[in-house]
Amino acid sequence: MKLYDCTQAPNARRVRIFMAEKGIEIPRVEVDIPAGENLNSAFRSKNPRGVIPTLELDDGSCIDESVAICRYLEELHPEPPLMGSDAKSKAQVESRQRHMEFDGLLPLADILRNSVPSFADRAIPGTTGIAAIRALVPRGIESFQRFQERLNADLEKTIYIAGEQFSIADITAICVIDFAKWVKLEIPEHHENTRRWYERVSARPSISA
Amino acid sequence: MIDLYTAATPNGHKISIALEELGLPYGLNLLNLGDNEQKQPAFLAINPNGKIPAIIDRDNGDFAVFDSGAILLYLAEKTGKLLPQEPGRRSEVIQWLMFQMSGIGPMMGQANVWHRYWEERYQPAIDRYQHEVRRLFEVMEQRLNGRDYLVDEYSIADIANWAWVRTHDWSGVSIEGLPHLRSWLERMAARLACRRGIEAPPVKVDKKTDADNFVKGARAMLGR
Repeated sequence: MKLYDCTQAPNARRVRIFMAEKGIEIPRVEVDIPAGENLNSAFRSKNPRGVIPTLELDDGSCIDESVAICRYLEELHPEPPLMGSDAKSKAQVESRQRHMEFDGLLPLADILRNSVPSFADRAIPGTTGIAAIRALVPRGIESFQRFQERLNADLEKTIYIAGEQFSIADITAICVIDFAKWVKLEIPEHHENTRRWYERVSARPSISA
Repeated sequence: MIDLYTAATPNGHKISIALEELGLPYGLNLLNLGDNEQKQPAFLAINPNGKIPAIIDRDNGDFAVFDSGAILLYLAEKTGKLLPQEPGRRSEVIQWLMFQMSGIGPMMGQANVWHRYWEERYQPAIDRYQHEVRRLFEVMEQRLNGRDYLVDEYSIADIANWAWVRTHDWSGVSIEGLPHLRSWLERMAARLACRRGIEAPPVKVDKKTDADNFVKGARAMLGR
């Protein structure tokens, strides 16, 4: 197997942390997204969508989408379970995971991709040019701040994002919160629950993967 | 803000549990014990004894405290919580804290060394420490008969003892026939702050490969 990776991309980081938690090592190929390396023909012959991360299997086929890659690795290496272990916990992890993506990651992507010059003509990930819309930036900030409030409230009574066990939802959440620093959205000082959770989770060795 | 210097060990967990219980903001600074980070000058400046945990209280002129028992007392006195004011009760909490510091901790630590980490198997040493740990558990069993916590009211004595006793399987010591101790272990585990504290950071020994790595790290420390 081979993982097409980009050190600074939040979605690629999710897969690296997931692998580190499982103790899995896969050779990595660094792809420079800001320089557009993911859009060149060499990479697009592997993945026509040009998205990172992409996992190339030994038979030459490719899997993209970070959660799909994690799902594949979870099936190959079930221990420790990071996507739930029974019907209820699997559903809870999936629920929190989607919440982190839709309400956390997407507003941040809107803020970044509609404000940074290098994304001006590719505001949506993928291969064809879609222009940025500046007005999406304040909307993204408002939406993200609502997410921060909910996160702090949800963490009042749990240890991890999806309950008692560390899961992929925590990995997504930590990537969301670190990604938010790129656009100067820090954890608010008074969000004690989020701050404590962040300290506990970011102390895990996998987080620096 | 309290800066905690720690690792995934019972002594480290005592402090993360207390910080969670007390609601004090903290930052976690992890030391890699296998790499001997705790004996490097940067950390020796905080704790001359070169052992985790240690804290620096950023709100008190960067005051440093080492030794988990001393840190628990410092945090309890700083906040006025988890340690009664009344001299008799206060003394009782300190007695059960010292019971852990001089008994449970060192004896379980030695049981771990001989039962888990020492390359050669030396049965008399294993027996000596495991039997002593079991005796200490029986002392706790007596004490907890008719009590929810070691000194009635939940305190730093419970935190200190729980951080160790919960790992009795790792020391190879059974709690069979000790129903009050078992109920107390469960009562403690029902507290959110206790469950959070032991995840800051978590001990990874459930998987065999993780347990093997843990033992390897411990052996590297013993070899020095």
